[in-house]
Amino acid sequence: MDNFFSQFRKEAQKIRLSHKERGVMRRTFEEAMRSGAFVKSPIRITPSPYPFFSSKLVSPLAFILLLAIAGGGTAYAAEGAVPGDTLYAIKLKVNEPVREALAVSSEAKANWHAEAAERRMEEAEVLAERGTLTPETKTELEANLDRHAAEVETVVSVIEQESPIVAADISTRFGSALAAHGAVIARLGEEGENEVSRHESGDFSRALKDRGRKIAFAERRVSLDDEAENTVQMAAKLEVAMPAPVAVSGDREELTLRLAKNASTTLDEAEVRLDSIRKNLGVTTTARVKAQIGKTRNLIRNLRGEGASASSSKDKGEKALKDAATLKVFIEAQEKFRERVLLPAPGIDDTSENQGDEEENEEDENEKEED
Amino acid sequence: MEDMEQSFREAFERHADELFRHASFRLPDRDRALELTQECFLKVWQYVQRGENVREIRPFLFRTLRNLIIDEYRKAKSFSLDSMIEDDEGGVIESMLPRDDTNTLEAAMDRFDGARAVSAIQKLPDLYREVIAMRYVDDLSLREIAAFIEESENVVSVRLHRGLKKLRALLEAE
Repeated sequence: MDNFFSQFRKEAQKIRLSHKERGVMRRTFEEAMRSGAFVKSPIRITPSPYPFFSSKLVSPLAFILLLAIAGGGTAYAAEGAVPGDTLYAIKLKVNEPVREALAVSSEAKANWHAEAAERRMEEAEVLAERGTLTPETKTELEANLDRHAAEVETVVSVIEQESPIVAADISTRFGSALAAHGAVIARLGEEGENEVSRHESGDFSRALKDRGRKIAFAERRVSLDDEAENTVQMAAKLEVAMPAPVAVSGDREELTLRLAKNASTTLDEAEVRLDSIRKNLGVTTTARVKAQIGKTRNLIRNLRGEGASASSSKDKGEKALKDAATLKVFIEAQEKFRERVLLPAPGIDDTSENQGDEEENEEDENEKEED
Repeated sequence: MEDMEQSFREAFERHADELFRHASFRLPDRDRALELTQECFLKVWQYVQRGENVREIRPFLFRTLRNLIIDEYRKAKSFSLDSMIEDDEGGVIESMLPRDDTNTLEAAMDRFDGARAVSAIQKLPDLYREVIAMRYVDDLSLREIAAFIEESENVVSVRLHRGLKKLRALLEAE
């Protein structure tokens, strides 16, 4: 009795928000709670979480295609697939090209490619955790990730002239995400029993960290260099990117505020995730992670307080965003891989006092410059 | 205010999936379902923020979602004509019909594959999809459904019965 309805219910239970979708919604929602203002079109608050929502701009064919696959159930199921799964081909060959085709504006494109690259990294995390990351899979993932990362860089360099702040923001976020996922993969891979997989995870993780650094570095060189203010030559060189040298300091302030805002949104998300997994964590771990979040918040508060136009403020903004992204990626990974110990996230100070922070930050930056 | 935010966050974590699921049954595509789910939470948040009192969050969320879906059908005339229209025996007459053998019909559905029905149900008019989703997916009682859609329990029961019959016809045709 009731066989039909229990099957029906069971199948229906499969319809749920993906991890990503839930995250985006949560973020929009947190933002709405913070802003306190009436938000007419919720979806557009965050920078293009679903680039394809702007259906007016979308080519009809792609839209029909999306309806066709979205109706199918297979496409949902494929979202969680990793290399080696039957549905992985669908995720890669159907779902993603559609998303890609539907991202119309440059910013949406950059965001989509950054998201796609993140998806590759999340897949690598799953495989590293299972201990099944083979050289072939790694190459495959890397090739795909490279393609998306290159697209992000291309779009960023195109929009840099028009809107240097958006460009810098995207590349900082992307660079931070790469580095953070790299660290998660390293952590997940290093305890694996399978030697090949352990080795590949290490490799993959190093490549990601390198790339993350490069992206952050490239961004620094091109757009809002501190020296641009002082050096006439530099100003002349940058004339295309920066129509008026006067704009530099204002831009930097805007960029810093944007970085700070993003960092703070990311932290809020991280905190909500942390609350939901707290019961599975030890008291000490929770306290340490909380301390890390607190430190990063302090950094943001200082930034906003001391005036975002100070010349070191952009670096601090980047550090805040980087730390926030690391925390979020680590907490999310901890949620996914419950039986592993990932937290506290590495590389973020978790002592309760806030003194050594700035020197540490500068050292970090110097290392990057040398690279 | 902090408390309110916290309990609202909890409500989101707890109910987001089921609201999204319900929206997915009612709307033609996933993206729209996502948007309306999000909008539903934002609407309720704005309501709470204005200092209005919400006694029970789950029914309130569902009611808000329902209103949004109705708006959606009103806005998009193109699919409303096909999906929202009641068939010729629908409407007022329903309330005059006697309660019938829904239980027997439920039992008779067992020879079909319930999993397949999830996609087949998309072909039903929204009128039926709504009650079927509420009853068999969201697990609401007849009385609760009746309260949501502001009809009598009898109407709900009849509508469910008709919906199931149509669903059966669809499954048979496959």
